[in-house]
Amino acid sequence: MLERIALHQTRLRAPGLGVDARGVALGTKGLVLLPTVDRLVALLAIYTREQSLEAILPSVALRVVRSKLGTREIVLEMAAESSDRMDRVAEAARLVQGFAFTGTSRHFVQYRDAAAPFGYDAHELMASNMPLVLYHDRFTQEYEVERDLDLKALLMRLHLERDPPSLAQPGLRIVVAEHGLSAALIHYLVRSRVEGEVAACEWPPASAFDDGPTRRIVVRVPDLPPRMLPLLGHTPGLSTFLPAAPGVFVEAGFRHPVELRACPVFDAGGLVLMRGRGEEPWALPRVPVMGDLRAFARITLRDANDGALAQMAERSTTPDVVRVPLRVLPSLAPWRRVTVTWVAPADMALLRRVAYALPRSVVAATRIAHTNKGAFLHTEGGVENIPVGTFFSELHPNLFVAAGFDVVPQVAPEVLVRAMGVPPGTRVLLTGDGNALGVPIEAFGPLEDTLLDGAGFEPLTANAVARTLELSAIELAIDPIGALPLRGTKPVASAPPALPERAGAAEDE
Amino acid sequence: MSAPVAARVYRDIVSPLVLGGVVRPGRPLGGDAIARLFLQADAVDADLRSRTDLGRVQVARSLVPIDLLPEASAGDWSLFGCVHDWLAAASPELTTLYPRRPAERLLEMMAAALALVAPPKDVLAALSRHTYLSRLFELHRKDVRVSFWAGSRVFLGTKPPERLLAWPSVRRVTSETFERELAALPEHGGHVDKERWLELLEQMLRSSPLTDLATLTRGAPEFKWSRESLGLASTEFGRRLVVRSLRAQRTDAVLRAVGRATRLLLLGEAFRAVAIAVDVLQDLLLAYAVDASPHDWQVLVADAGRSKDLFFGLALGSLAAEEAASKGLSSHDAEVALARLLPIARSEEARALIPAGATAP
Repeated sequence: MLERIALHQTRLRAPGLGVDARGVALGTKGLVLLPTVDRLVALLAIYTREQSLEAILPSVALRVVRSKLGTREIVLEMAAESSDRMDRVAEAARLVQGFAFTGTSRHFVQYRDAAAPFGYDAHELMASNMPLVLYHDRFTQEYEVERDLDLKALLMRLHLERDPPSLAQPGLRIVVAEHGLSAALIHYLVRSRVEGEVAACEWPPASAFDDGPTRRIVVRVPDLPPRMLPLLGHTPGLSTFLPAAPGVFVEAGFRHPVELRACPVFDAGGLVLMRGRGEEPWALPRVPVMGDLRAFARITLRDANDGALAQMAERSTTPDVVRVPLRVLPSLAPWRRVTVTWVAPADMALLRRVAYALPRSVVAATRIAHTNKGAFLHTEGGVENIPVGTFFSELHPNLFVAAGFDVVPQVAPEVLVRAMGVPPGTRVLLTGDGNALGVPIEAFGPLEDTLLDGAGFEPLTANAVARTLELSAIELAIDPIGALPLRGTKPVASAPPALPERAGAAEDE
Repeated sequence: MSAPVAARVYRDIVSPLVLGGVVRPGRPLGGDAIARLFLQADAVDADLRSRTDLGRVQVARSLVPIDLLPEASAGDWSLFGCVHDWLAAASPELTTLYPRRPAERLLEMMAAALALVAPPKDVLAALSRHTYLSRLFELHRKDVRVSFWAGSRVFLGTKPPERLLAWPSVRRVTSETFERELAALPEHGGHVDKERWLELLEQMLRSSPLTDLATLTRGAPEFKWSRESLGLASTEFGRRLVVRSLRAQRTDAVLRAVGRATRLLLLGEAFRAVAIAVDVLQDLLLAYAVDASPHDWQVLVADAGRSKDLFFGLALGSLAAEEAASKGLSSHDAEVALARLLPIARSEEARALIPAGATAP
């Protein structure tokens, strides 16, 4: 039913189909036919990777359609606008094995492809009352609309994919704490001098068995210190979220299959928190009023009457506390257990050059953590084989001091770790100028995994192995058969020679 | 009957049909010679027979793991002779002043000989006969039309002489080659009634029912269920061979051909035969529903909306497969197949195929 449109052809038979400035057949609408919802998600994921849906979103309609044979398929309909836009949609549709069409009302013809650069026209229209008739070079099919799909609801129903690197992603975070943990979390953040805003939110009860609405606090932290990431990420009752689009946040450690920034279907004034592990998202129509985190700091009231007396009594009974700050001083002692080197960002180029000269055993034994302060390389047997960066000696599995320096006062490493409050999952490095840098142990990965840049390769086509017994084509040749070709031929005798199968056939009969 | 005739038929017809190459029908044999070919079977060159048997095993192994096939039987030899005379009847060389209409006379002799060829007695015999004729429809003839400054000449199945192609630029020689398929031979230089010629081809295919089923997507003659093909498909092993041979072809074309032939059975109220045909459709559709990509399945279902025969095959197979899926497939495969077949089986159009008062097949 389809015919290719020729160059400079202007008269088309399909209703509502015209040609644009480039001569391509185009209706007012574009349509993509997809077999399943997962193909629709793949189409959205591919399209939004390069383009935003913002331009076409007002005209986008998603429908479940049903053919006469009862098969259900998905139709994505949008305003066609121009062949440039339709080209991009059609390319994405081809990639997910969908079909692109264009038309205006009910009759949609196949959109242009390599076989027909100017598109197709239907030279014969199907007489049908169905709301959708699609003409393709391989089929012509009519559909009835079963129901509409809501894009926002679809995006909120999709399971998030695991994305461990996002756990360490810096920047804005939303931390949601269950009601029982809210006071402790706020106090912890205030004590750690973390800036942020907090709001108390209520969600409707999950079921009729709940007494009332579920209360949680939502903390907005513009720059969460990296050392807090493991604590907030692994404590039950606390959930951290990363911004995915205005008004939408995705749980840290997960990724939405569709680029949400390209799908402006969410209200920027609302709050949608998408959770991993297939759990329901938390959504609020409006972001509640948020207050400064410091306003929630725990306060202690001085006793109005006996304050001075109590202070005097305390002073008279409690001796002065002997506390001195920790210092890092140069030392002449020989270096021992130099297992970490810190390569500052300025020295990364040198590390790349040195990487070519590193022996196999060193590369295999070394682990590396990339931070905003540079790279940290750790080798259990000694890091001296990598002659780049600032070396650190190991005082304790979690505490390192710059090589050539020592810590005073000289206390046991365990005491030092306890006094500094070093958490078990962190390596703290004391630099020569007295700064302490904490690197999560889980940030260290094998050096050989990150060392090599992925190199492309040129795919070669292998010749098929020849078949042992190659079968050639069968050709009929005509030879001369003489002037009297039937000479000597006789009809079959009434009593033919005894043939085994003839006897069998007779028995069958 | 001289011994070289059987050797010539084997060398010029049988072996090229199996291994490929040039098929050369010579002087017609006649019914009596066809019936006696088997008696001269020992005259065939042993080396050629060995190579041909290797080619037959290759054909057979695409359907079933087998290393040894039976020798050609008396019926097979008669069938070879029939193929020889049938091809000779469409030869442009077959024109004589006496007798008039030699091709018709030749076909009548051949038909009488073909009537004596018994159908295969079991599935192995059907497979063995199929290995000889499986490539029959690949046969084609190259016709060359040579144009030169003083005119043009057409060479049917022969090469133009070198002298006619000499000095191409001076004599302005151009040659054009046309490939004629098997069914088109009578109308390109033949002196035979095409209808009768194809009718005899249909009879030959009935003698080799597996070939008949394995080539059912051919253009002409159209596939029709016969007693022999139904007999083969009625056994479990035979049906498995049939389905395997059909899986190698385009599913929509297979379903269309089987659907058309089965519809004819239904119109003739041959319900027992319809049940056998439905079993073939069911096995075929179950295998395809498990393996087909979403795109291929989509195209097949969409095509079924346009073609009555294809829809008939698809719907009838889906109705039958609904129950069979849970028995013959693993749970995962059954789930995949049913997800595709159930919407079709439960559509109103498919339900309308079931006669009133009857249950789904």
